[in-house]
Amino acid sequence: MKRQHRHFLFLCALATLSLNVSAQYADKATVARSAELKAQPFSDAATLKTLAENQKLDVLSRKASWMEVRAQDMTGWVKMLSLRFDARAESVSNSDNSAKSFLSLVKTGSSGSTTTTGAKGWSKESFANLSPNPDRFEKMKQLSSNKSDADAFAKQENLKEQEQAYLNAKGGAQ
Amino acid sequence: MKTSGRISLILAGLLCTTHLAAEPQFKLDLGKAFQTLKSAKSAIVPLTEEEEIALGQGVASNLMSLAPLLADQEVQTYVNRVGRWISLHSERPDLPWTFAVLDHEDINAFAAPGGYIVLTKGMLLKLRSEAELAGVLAHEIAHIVRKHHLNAIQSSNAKIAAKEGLSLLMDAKGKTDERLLKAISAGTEMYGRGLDKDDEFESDRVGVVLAARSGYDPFGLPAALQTLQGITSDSSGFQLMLETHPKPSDRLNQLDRIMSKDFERFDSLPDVRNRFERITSRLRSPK
Repeated sequence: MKRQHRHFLFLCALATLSLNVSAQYADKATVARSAELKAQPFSDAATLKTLAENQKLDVLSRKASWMEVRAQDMTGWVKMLSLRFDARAESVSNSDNSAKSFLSLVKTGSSGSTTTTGAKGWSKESFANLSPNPDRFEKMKQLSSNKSDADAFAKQENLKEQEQAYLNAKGGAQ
Repeated sequence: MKTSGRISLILAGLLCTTHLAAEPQFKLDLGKAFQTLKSAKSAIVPLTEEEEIALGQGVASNLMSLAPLLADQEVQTYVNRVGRWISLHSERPDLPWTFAVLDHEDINAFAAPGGYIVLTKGMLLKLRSEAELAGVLAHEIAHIVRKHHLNAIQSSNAKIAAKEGLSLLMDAKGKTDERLLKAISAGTEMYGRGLDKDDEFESDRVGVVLAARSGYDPFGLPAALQTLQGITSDSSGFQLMLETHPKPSDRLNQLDRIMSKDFERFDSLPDVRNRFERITSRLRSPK
């Protein structure tokens, strides 16, 4: 019974994942420094527990400076910058198909993501002796947006300008 | 023509310094020439904005030969609008800010002087929201606002002038275009080596501020950096980015330090996830 239930939950999770692939984190993270697990993404929300340094977590989603995480059987919110994301090898060309990697995770029971493509990435040498490509650059120039265009675009999503001074390396105002 | 003339004047100025230093011996003393240039480096003649733009156009045109433009007008327009909106909150809102997505799987972004910014499809696909895109673009915009590449290109030109001083001095007048091309070519090569790490840290600091000023959730940049932190160094499309930037963990540590003070007050700013997902969804769907 319990097993069936878990199976059902798993299918639900899979359905959610395929509906909203890019918003989902399928990442593992480690607690970089001890932090409080909160019930809500606010500093004054109830503290569920204190997460110990080096504890492993599943990352579910982000809201501003907060990450929703699952720590053992408990789900809550932790400050995102108290987490460290664990490096995992992956193929660049397939890496964005989260649903696919999720499926392979199910199939193999491991991260199953050690494949790398043969695609050659850019290196230092790629930038030596580049020649100009005026045709492409002309096309690039045509893509530029003007100020009123950008302004209308920001208004569509109700982006509200804020005041914030530049900061120096110590966090003080510059 | 006017611009290349001025750049060549600057180069010529540097070369004259070399020449004068060598004059008492009636031959070019390379050791002395380098010494002189070291001090000349700190007194590099600033370019006018027009010259900076001309140089940046040359660099951007070179970068265009790395890969074709992504053939998705909606995505290109979208990236330009996000970037243009952020640029309006910098001290240089009137540069000809232009953005392009290259159809390449590598994860990277480049800023050329004068307002030209290029990012890869690979980078775009690593992002989860408009706020993350805003964070990455704001970091690149910061490089241009603070003239990081421009200054590095001018310094490296001073070195080139030192190395090639003699032959350049013997060049006939009217070869200015060739010198400008040399400057652009040397400038482009720099993108394979990367900037000073301090410039990268500074762009992160400026980037989160520009994102917040533009009304975005400013934690988009650290979120993107955490995603990069989760990619191992042996991923083929990520090598160059790692080689040319400080480690993601060092960059995140700095952002933790500076954002923990009072960036929590921006926690209600939107990450504009839905618009980002809608517009980039075609790139994500399997072919």
